[in-house]
Amino acid sequence: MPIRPSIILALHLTALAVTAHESPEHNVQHLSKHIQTHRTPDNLLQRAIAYRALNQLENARADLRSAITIAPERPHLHLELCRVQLALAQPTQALLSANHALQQSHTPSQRASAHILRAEAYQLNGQHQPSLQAVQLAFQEVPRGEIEWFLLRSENQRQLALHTQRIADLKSGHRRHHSAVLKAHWVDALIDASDYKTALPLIDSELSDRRWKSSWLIKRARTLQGLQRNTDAASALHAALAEIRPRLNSARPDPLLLADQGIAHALLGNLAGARCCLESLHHHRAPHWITSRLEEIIR
Amino acid sequence: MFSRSLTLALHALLLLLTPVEADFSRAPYLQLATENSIHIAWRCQAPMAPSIRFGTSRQHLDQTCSGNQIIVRKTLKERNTLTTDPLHSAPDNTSQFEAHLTGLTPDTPYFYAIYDGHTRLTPDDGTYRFRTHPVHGSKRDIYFWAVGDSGRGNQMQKDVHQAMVNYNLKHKLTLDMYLHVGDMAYGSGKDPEFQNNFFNIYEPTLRHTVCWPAMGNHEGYTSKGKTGIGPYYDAYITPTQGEAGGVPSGKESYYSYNYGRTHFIVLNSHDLDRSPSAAMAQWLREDLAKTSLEKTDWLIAFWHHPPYTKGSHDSDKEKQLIEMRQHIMPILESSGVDLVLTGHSHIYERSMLMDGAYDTPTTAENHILDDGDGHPKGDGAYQKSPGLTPNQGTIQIVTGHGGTGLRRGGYSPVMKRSILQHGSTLVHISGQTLNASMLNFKGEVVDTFQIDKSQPVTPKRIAQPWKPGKPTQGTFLIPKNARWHYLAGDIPPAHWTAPGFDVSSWKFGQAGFGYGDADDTTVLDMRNKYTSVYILRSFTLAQPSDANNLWLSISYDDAFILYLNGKQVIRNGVRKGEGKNATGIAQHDAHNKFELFDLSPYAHLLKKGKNTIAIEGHNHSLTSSDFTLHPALLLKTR
Repeated sequence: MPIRPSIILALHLTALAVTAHESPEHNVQHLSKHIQTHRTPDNLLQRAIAYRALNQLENARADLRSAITIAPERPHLHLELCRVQLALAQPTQALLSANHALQQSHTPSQRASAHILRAEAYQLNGQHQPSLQAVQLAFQEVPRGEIEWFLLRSENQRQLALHTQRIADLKSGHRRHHSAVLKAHWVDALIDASDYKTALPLIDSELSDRRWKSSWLIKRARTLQGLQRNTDAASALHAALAEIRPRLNSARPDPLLLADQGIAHALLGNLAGARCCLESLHHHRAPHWITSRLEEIIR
Repeated sequence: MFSRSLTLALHALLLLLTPVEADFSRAPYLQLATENSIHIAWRCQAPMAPSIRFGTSRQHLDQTCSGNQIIVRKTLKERNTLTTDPLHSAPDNTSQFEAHLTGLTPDTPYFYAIYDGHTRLTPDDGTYRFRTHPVHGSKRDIYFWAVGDSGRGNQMQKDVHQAMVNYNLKHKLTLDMYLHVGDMAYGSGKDPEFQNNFFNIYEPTLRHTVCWPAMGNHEGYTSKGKTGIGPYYDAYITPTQGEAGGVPSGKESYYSYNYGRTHFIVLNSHDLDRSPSAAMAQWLREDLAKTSLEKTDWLIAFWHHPPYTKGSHDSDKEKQLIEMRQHIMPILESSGVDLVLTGHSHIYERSMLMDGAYDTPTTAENHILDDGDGHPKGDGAYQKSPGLTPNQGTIQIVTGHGGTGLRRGGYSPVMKRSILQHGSTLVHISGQTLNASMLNFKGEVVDTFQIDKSQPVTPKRIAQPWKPGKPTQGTFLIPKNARWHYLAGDIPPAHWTAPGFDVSSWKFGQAGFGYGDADDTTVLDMRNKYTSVYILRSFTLAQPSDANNLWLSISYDDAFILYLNGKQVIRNGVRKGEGKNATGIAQHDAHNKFELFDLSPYAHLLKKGKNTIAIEGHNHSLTSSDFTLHPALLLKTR
């Protein structure tokens, strides 16, 4: 009985894995030698993975393109190339790769992975509607989804002002995964939708047993402002700033902490302080989903 | 005289009492313990009616876990009507049983037995036991074992495990938990590799100690952190909903738990987004924000890829390592993390007390808060304020030396110790004191440090901290060709290495000692007569801190054992025994070259003023063509 190519691939990857106990540099060295005589898609993929580990993304991309030339029918090669292109901030090329991956995918999880990468590529391009559609297609393939998918969908919904659906989806994600991160985003969604009465008890419950309170104090302040309790909101914001200040590392600031500082300044009317935080966020290459929140408040 | 019927009756009774040798395909192991619950998992390949009987007395297992408290998992193709999560992979006919024992009393020892119907499968030998976690916030000592990069299934892995077992027996210690920092099933984390290289090796420990895992890259070949699917996730039950303390992560691959007054955080450094805005980092912030200051004194984090290493991996070059340093360490340090345990790099490295070293390449200047050795009898314990105070210093331990091949690529500037020996890490926390040791595969403690949080401190950053690594400049405390007392062709008394030993009857000669390769000053008539030579002399340390900068420079053929003030510190090429009992001598040519050995790990054995150095040199055989023993002692100045 002939051995199926997939079995050969599995055996080959296993053999590579067994020897892959050295550093990525050693793996690149070893594979480069091996590739001189065995230029297979698997060897090229392995070298691309090693290049990625060394952050040599151009080399990784070149190897993956070569691997795809030899074996265009393998979806995981297209998916890997797409990830590298996203890391290189090349959304248009990444989208093409994800679409190729989708065409070659045979299982729901492969198709879901391709859709999520498409969604990320669209989002990187600022195209929130197609990004949202792509995430929804991923959920159709794998209804349970992953925490990251819920966050990606929520961000698209926020950009598109689809508040009701955003709240419902985050709530269902939190119910399914019990993730503290989804809960925090769900409360943000409630505030964004001006549903202050639902948000406030959730926030107060969270604040009751926290060591670091600033991010939830800011949620509370936004809610109180929405409820026209501006004095209480200001005192929450001052408390948040007092906590943030000593925790911020000026050389390498935590982007979420820095964004919180900017939001607190902005909500207190200190727009110069808020812009300073925004500049620092851009300087430290904070992602758009963090900077855009602050930008909206400053506007 | 027994009647035949009585004999038969007794025999029948004996059969009832004797446990059946169970056909476990994966022996029982503990998982996910909390203050009032625990999971026990095992696998069988024959159908069974499972139950667990347990109780606080070995003789009275008066409680039962059965029915829907025990879930059964099978592979997708075999699970038929089962609705539980399928196993990713397992041998044919495998059933994996996961029992959830609830309603337990906190901080209480229990014994358990697994039954198939009325047949007891686990023997009544007292080793099938567990202890529930103490109530969060209660004062209780913790003692745990940390291992990394061990899953080879080789003799070295077994030796490292056995060394820990023997050490605990000798010192009457019981583990409260076992942390594995990843790479537990080489080469690709497949189900049989988990069985052979992890469960079979550690089975005697796993039956009574919970192993809390972090996923390594080798498990990552077959298990995926995003989906929680693969042999790694089949094997482990981890808290996703904050069951054991901490906030819910919703993911099996990163989680947290409490034990008494210590909060543990486990991260996935392998295949999830490590950026500061990604879901894992957002969860980490939430978890740290909700760590209770009233109930927590210690914060310990572990994962696979080390933020600082120059072992078989380089944290200045590799993306995962750089990202854990640049993105994750600032979040942890700003919440007061005390200890970070990692693996991946096949070496033991242990840092000075450090904070804020996030640059690439890593620099130590102004990021070291205490550049001493942390040894209570050496430079003294590292000092931090009580409780969880941000940015008061972290100790990083790379414990990737659990069984696979070792390698050193260089020296990280933040590391106080860099030891190329197989072993593991033992940590004991008692009140405001944390003690940690590196136990090598022979059962020797080769590094120890302490963190003391009993007094408030104000950390000071050291502009020019101690630098690790081979000396590029130094002065000789004992120069080459120095004169030593020596004993050749005779056997010294047992205490010959101790300070103050009377050497008046020994000869006095100039190094090197030996014969046969034209590199010896004191030529000995060893060939065909004897194989061992003993040399000894004293040296003076002008100041205690010099002990941290001492290096042995030695030309040798074939092997030697070095003693400082009577304590054995280096055994090179001698497998077992000392003096006349030394065996397993490896062959090694001197080639007229001097090799360097770092003596800073043994600084605590030295003192200001007069110290004693003793060396026994061993030849591979009586008929060997040559022998060389030529040491010098170097004080590193750069």
